[in-house]
Amino acid sequence: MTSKKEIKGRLFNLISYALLLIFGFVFIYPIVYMILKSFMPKGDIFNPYVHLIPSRFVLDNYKLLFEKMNFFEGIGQSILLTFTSAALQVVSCGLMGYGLSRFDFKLKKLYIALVIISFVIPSQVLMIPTYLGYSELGLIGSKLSFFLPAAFGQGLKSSIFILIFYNFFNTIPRVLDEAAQIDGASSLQIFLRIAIPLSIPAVILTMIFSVVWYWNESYLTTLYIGEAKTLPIQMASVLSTMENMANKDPNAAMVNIPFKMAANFVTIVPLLIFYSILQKQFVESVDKSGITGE
Amino acid sequence: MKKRKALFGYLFTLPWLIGFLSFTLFPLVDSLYMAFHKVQISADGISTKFLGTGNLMYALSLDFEFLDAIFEISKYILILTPLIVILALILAMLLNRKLWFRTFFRAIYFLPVIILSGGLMNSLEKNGAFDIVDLTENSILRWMNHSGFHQIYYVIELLLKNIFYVLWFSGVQILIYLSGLQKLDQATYEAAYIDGASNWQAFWKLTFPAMKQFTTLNIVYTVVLIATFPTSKVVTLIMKNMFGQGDFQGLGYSSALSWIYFVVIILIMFLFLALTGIGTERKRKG
Repeated sequence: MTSKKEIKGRLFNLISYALLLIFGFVFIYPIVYMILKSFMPKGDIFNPYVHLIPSRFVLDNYKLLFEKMNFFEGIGQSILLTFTSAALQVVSCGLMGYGLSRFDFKLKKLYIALVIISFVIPSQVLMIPTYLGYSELGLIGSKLSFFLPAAFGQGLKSSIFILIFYNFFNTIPRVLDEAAQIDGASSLQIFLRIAIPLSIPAVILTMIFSVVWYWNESYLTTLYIGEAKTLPIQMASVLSTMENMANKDPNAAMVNIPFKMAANFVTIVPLLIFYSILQKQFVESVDKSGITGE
Repeated sequence: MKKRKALFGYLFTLPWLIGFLSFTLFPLVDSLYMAFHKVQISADGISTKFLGTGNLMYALSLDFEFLDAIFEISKYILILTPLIVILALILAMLLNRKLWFRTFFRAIYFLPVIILSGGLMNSLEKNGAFDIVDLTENSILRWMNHSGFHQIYYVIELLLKNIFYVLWFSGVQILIYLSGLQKLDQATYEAAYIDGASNWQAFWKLTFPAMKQFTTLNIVYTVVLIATFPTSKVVTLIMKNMFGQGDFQGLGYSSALSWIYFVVIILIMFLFLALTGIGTERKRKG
């Protein structure tokens, strides 16, 4: 009886690993494709014996890329835009989440409902009046067009961050607050001395998502601050000139695949580095804080 | 004391309130206003002319490019959302098991969350990175297409063509399910197994009901993600029309398009939520 169960368990394990491997392979196939192609010499594209693995690894594509785009300006602009917006967003959403979780006030339920509803409103609906408003205020082209919404809890997908903080602070027992209150601490002191130190896992989690989403956002960036030479914007413009050439000549489209893959890879390398540094904390804070709560 | 606490509540939420009024509510009302107007930007400023339902009528009856795009994206959302949510649940359950190389597997499955962007997806798709299977080569699929199963063929084709969208769009949902699975009480499962429950029964009677709120969350997230992703044709049409000069173009017309899109998305979302609601309701009774 037990042996039968054991066999069943082993089989189940085997299937689990097989599924994870197969899906995992498909998950990262485009990334592997991108990296391998980016080191490919142009000649390999029309070589029928070469599929994924280059006949030799060359850096030509990267050299050409660094001539065509200003990498250091790009990364500087991206970091400035991304990290400032993310920091402002985390602070404003943290305050909002804390306010909702810790204090009772009349409009609280309404606020929570509005936070949820604003997640469902597609950005395309808000984009046009926002664009008009910015151009009237002279904010088009300025990074403030990203910083202001972020600082007031309306950045990219802010609702998610507010709900993460709300749920996170709900899991911290109120007894801690009450104890501090008896010792004479004010609400502000409780927030600064108790809530902030305890909320580090939630801050890391939201910071990672916020940085990642701001980094990858290029459509609103193009609309509001087109001149900002962030890495994704530079890549988009390099790629679109390439695609225009390709529309005239399909062979050119093929030949340029290695170059285009190099451009894509360069844009995400900073993200990969950022993720690998924080990966351990990221997985832990997903485990600990949970991103959803009760 | 209670009053003071309420005051602090309003204080902490004040920045959000200011932001909500100026960056969400005001643009929302403004875009609704614009949807009924012809809006033109000139050197003298912005001029608006009332059109009534003109923009909406034109979009819903004569703008075939837009209507096609709306139908296509609705079909995508209706077919891909359940697939993405189910896949996310399966992968989350697999990743939640005690595994060798768990960190390695998690790193792989979390990677798309980190790098997913419109520009990247677009470029990868255009340059052959998504061509992992060649559909025309597959004889089973070809047979399906030519026999009576072309409905099934259509779904499979759609799935295979968009396999990377399905997989890469499921990253956050996997995380949401994982955090839900970690809150399950192991003792309940042990009790169930002692009573002779199989894995299959444990899943349907314990795991699945406990995941209900996370499923709801994931459905909403998935619908919004697919609908607002920059590679969506409707999104590109809205952007394209913004700066057009023609009769039915420009900011007013674009606003009308975005409102129609908004309503369609909300309807689809309600449909899904109603369906999952009915599903779990019946389970509870039965």
